[in-house]
Amino acid sequence: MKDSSKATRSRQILRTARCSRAFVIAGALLVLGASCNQSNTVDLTAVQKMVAATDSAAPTYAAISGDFFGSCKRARIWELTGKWLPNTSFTAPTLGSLGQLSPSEAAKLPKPLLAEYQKEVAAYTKAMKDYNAKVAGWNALQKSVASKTTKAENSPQPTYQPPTPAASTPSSAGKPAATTTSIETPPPFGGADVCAEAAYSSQQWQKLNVALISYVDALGHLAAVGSGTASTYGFDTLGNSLTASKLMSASQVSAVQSALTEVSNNIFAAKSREQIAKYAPQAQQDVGVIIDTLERIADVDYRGLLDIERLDIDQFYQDNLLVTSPGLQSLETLPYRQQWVGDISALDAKVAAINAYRTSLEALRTAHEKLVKESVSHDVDLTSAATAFVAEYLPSLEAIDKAFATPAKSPAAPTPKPKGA
Amino acid sequence: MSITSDLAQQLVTLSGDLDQLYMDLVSDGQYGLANQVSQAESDLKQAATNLYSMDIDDQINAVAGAANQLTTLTSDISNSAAKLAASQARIAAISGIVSSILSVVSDLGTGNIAGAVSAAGQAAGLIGKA
Repeated sequence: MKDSSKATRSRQILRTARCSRAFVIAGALLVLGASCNQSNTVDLTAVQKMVAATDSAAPTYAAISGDFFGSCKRARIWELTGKWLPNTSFTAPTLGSLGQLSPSEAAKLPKPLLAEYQKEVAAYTKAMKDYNAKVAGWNALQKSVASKTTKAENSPQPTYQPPTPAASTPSSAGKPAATTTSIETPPPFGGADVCAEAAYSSQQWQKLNVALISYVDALGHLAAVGSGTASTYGFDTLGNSLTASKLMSASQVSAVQSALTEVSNNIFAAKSREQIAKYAPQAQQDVGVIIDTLERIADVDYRGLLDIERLDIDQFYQDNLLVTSPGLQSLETLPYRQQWVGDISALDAKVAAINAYRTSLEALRTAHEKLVKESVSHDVDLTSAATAFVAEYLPSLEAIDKAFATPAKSPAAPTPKPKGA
Repeated sequence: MSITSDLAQQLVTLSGDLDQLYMDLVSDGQYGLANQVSQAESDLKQAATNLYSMDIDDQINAVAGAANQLTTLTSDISNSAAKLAASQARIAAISGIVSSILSVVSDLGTGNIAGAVSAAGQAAGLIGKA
């Protein structure tokens, strides 16, 4: 009995000793983990926060760069359909009662009436000649417009490959970021498709967007490496085995498991920080140059194309209302005038999206500059910088999304009523 | 603003002037001439559009070096992340081996020889993979 009691006590002492070792090990690991955590400067949570915000940028940026082509196409259709002046503005000449007589009947008329008849027929013949010329001119114009409109509508839409979203788990952290840009030689001008060059430029613009977003995305993959769970390192399986072997209690296993995960994360986070601190400064200049270029493309070239579209919308309504107004009461033109205002408002939203795009790029530039500064110094508060970035960046993206949420309307020429109707 | 985009802007202004001429010709019933003016106006806008496109291409070509450097750097960052992820996977493999060895010890302690053999086989397999 005594022996059995001694053995039980020995086992208890042994178990206590094992447990103490486990806690000592866990404690040592935590200290090691904490020291790893302090030896680096880049705040990985802040980087992840920034990347989470830029993840949603790819489709938004694709919308604005794709609209360079979209604007070209819309402007073309506005312009071409704007020339569809109605045939009903021509009224075929009619003969008076005398002119409707046959020549044999007219020959029986008294001389004064015969002269009146001849005068009426001559006027009618001349009016018919003018009428036929007008109709022929309009038919030729419409045929030409129709063929161009068809060409514009059949223009191919550019397709985009948005970057792969940043992984939230370290297991997928090794996935390569989306394929980025390779600058191509532009195709020769000309050809049947009037917006082919614009389509090409849209794609190039988006490739440059993707080059920037992919870089930020890759930083996100790197930052995510230090945020694994017990299963990332197989500590969950190990814990189960320890529990099953009865070397430790479940709570002790849980404590060791947490400590091991934290230490491992700290070690990987430290490596991740080192890599970010190595790469971010190298990218700084290129990021700046690319942001400058993207802003200029949006502000000058895309804005210029929207100006052409605005001109075409205005001309469409001016031309059509001018031609149809004589046949329309003022109130009847009201829907067309309201539609005009609506179409210009939609265009204004796209112009505003340029400013939002620039704001988002500037926020990205500032955040990256702070990331670079923090990677070499402890002075920068990247957490606050990331919060400020998200607060500025996401609303900018929302503003862009809003401008492109509604598909652009195809211009529809007002259907004027015939004169005098 | 570059010469290309500046020229594009001037062409847009000129096409606006031609539109006024087009409207005057239509009012006068000179549809043949109106058609020609309309075509010229359309050509000007097309040229302006192409110039804006050309300006984009020029801008992008000018930063091709920076874009390609950033692409290379992106690839390097992705590779670093992949290497770290591979290290994590190796730790997971080692954890698996230790776990299997613990199972062997545990099974031997309880006299479960069949279980110990199975766990040892599993451990050997994991060592092979690691």
